[in-house]
Amino acid sequence: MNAHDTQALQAAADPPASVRPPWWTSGRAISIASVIVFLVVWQWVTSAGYVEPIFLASPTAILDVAYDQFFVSREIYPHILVSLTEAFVGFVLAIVVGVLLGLAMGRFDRLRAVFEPFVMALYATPSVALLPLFILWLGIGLWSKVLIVFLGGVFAILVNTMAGVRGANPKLIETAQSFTASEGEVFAYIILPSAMPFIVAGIRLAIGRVLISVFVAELYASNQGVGFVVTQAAASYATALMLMGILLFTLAGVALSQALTWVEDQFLGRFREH
Amino acid sequence: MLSSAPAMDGNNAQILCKDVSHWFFKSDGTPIQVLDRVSLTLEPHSFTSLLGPSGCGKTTLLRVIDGLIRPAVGTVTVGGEAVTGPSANRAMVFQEHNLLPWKTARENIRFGCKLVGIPANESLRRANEAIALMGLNGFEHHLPSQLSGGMKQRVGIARALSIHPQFLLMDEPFGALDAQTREVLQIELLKIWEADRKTVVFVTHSLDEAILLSDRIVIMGTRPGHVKAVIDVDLPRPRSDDMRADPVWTNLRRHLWQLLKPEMIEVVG
Repeated sequence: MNAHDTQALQAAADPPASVRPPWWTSGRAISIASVIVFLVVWQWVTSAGYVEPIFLASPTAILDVAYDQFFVSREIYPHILVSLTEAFVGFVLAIVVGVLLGLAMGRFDRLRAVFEPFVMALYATPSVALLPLFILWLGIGLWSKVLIVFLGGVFAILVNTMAGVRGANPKLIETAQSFTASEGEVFAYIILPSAMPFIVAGIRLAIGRVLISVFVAELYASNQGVGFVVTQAAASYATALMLMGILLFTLAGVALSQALTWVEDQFLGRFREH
Repeated sequence: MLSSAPAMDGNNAQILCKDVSHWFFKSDGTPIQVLDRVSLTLEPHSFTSLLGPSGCGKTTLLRVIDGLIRPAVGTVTVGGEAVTGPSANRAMVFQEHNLLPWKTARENIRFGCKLVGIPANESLRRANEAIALMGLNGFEHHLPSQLSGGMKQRVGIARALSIHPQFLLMDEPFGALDAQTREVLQIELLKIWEADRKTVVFVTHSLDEAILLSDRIVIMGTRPGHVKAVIDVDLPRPRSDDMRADPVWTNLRRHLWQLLKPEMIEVVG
């Protein structure tokens, strides 16, 4: 009866080597080659003098500045610390509030009716436009930036979480109820797992918004932070330092995104939509 | 063996529906009556099929018996107690199996046990028992997406059986399966049921399925859903597929079709 199914699940014999695509046609190999070519062209264009160093620093010049900043003068660390604190506090608050409020608003229609107009209005507003107001309220220190980061990230998480809750299969909810599940059990065993991929997608979307918020907030008004370093460097035509600062933001974004992918693969693979 | 079922005698395993009427509301607020004064007595340890065209309220009636839907009017008494909500003595098997996609076959079976409060070690034992009974050995650790339609429904039935219910409520469980799988599962269900005779309510579209499995067939009509006729199936137990050629079967089939035909034409036309 099941023999056929079992067979289909077992791996078949390996194909002959001749039909395998060569290693250099794999997506990863092409991506790596592409980056190397890009860096080589960049280095060549800048070091051969086709572009003024003020407009574009060469990769090696950026590495030199990074070496100085990280290992010799060590001036970058306090700025990194400030930016990380802003991003971390704001992001964590955004996740906590976005997930909890999103779950509640997804489950309770009346609560959604109360908050939805504000959520939609604020989601549509570029949050950095509120920065002058927050600086008026909270000054140019940590908390105005935390608030901007929070607002930048929270709605993407909230709206996605809400969509995930509302998308939970009503048939599975009915099934659990038929097995005498309470409202709390329905929430814990059906709704939360169903919403999980959406929550992660919301957090992923929020990463970019959080980094933009940190950067713009420091650009607009501050005296420390990586965004401030970039602004200062640009003002004094220290193009290599400016590019290094920008690259730090790039690295932060990539690292967060990769960390999320890792968490997803480790713990959430099963909750992906089937 | 641990069992939630008390001594199953007398009316303890009976299902009684009295003057059950129910309405749904369309999105614009217009009420539609789905059940009209349905009264039924389902005998203890009997297998009853609810047969009728789409929209006759048979699925709604099954949910009313389970307690998922509280009827607007009328009462349902199951095993001597008025139904006020789902209970651990009734288990439902759904048409689309309704397995949690992120749980393996065995975890899905144990999920039902967990919800009705069966301790973990006991639920593991019961799940393994149900896996063996339903021919799921070797598939315990598969996710539903890795199982065929028939296997998924086996898991759905195993999940229902492992809470050891007194009543099994089946909502077109084989409706979405291909013809061959369907026949295999019908015969297996028949064997399982004839071994311990729970009180079963089985919703179906299929005349032959109803005849093969049931002691009694309730024919329902539409607009609004009502009981049109209750017919006993006078075929001996144990039943088998070979009885299809029996004159009792063929006459009964003709009779059922005569009763259903006007309803079907109304629905289709």
